Amino acid sequence: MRTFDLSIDYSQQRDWSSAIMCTEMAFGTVAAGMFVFSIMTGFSLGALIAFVSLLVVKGLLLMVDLGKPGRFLKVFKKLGNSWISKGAWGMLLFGVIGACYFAALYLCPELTVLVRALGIASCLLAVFMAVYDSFTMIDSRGVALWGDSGLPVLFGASAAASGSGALMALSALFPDVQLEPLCSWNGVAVLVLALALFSVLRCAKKARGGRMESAQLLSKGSLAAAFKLGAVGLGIVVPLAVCLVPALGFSLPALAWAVVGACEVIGAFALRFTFMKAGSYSPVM
Amino acid sequence: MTYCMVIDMKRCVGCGACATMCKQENGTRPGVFRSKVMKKEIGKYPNVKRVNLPMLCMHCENPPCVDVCPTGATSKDKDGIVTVDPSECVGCRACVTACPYEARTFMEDGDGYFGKQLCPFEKVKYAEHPVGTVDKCTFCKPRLEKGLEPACVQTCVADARIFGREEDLMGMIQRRRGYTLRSELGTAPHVYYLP
Repeated sequence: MRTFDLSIDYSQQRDWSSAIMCTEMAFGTVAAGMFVFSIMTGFSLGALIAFVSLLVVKGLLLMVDLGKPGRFLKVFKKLGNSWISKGAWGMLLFGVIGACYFAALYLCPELTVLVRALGIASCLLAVFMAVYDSFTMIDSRGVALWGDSGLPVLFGASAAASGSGALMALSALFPDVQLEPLCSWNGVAVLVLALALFSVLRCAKKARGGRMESAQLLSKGSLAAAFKLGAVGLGIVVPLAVCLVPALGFSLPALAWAVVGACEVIGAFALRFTFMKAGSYSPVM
Repeated sequence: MTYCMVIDMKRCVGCGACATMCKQENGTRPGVFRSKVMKKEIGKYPNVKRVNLPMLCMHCENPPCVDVCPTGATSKDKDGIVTVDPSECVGCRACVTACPYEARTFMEDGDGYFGKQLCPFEKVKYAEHPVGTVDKCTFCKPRLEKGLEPACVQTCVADARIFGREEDLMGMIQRRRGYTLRSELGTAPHVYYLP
């Protein structure tokens, strides 16, 4: 049972920083991004892996986090302002439309218009799955860092970078993965991620109260090592540095891209874990 | 009609009787405080002042916790009291992170005050706050229904807490320049503090 610190001071939120919660959110981000890029590159096996793992792993982690799985169904009851409800409905729709897409793709591939339409619809829902929890975080008005309106861009870019990165990592196992367009898209996604992260942190450092405290935790405090090494180092610096190599006229082996992809996935997890844990409440006075 | 509470900061001595009485009345688990007295030391030696800040749910006019609840378990009643229905709460903790006053607590499993073996009082009371749901102050709604004041108001040794209808107390709040906590967030709390 938790104990309260009764001093009026900053306090880190602990309710959404459990390993299960952070893993569920990070996994959802990576899998949703991977689903979109798999469809864009025509790697249907990758899309299927991402689809199943997004629904099964994220869904299971959510249920484990709630403790009593039966209660999960109650979130479908009120599709009002709650982004948790919207996310649950989005996940359900993603499951249904995604399943229709794979059924059409594997059972009647000659219906190209239908397959394409279902593919686009499921991609849009996957994008929603990648960013909806950032809107949930924005709604958490007690935690100032999460109130940044740039959060959907940050986690959307993280999904794009880590999703394409996951596919690059899978290229070591599956030669079907088309590395050529994927690496270029990945470079753009990492660049957007870097800009979004810079913007969010800059705003946080200039702000007052809990947001500034969170920025301190990420830059100098207990989370600095994980944030700098994981989210920034592995998630942004390494991929950007590697992206420059082909521009300098050198070619890289496929294995190098796979390693970079794995680094980006680790970076996405580190970003989510540190952002969740850095959320701080401002003192009430 | 909207209920409100006024806390006179000059009268509060920080004894914590309100927090203790609240625990006794509501039978909350160890580490869970619906009502608590927070402390802060201001200034530097020798000019140091200690501030005692009684805290509870602010029963906001625009409660952020209500909007984020995915099941409608958290709601505001006609008297302006924000409550949680444990049978509807799924334990997502969205309301806990939405509350800027840290007035909500997620019920985790754990021992009672006397170890694993719960006393008869704990057995009865803990059943009202099931594990995996969120708990908060209700202005002692069951007591209000019996025509009684909230337990913290009744027990305050310094009469620092005043409870009543907002329209009846608003004159005093304005006259004494009462304020609310974190008013910049637009939550419009119904707990006022008198300087």
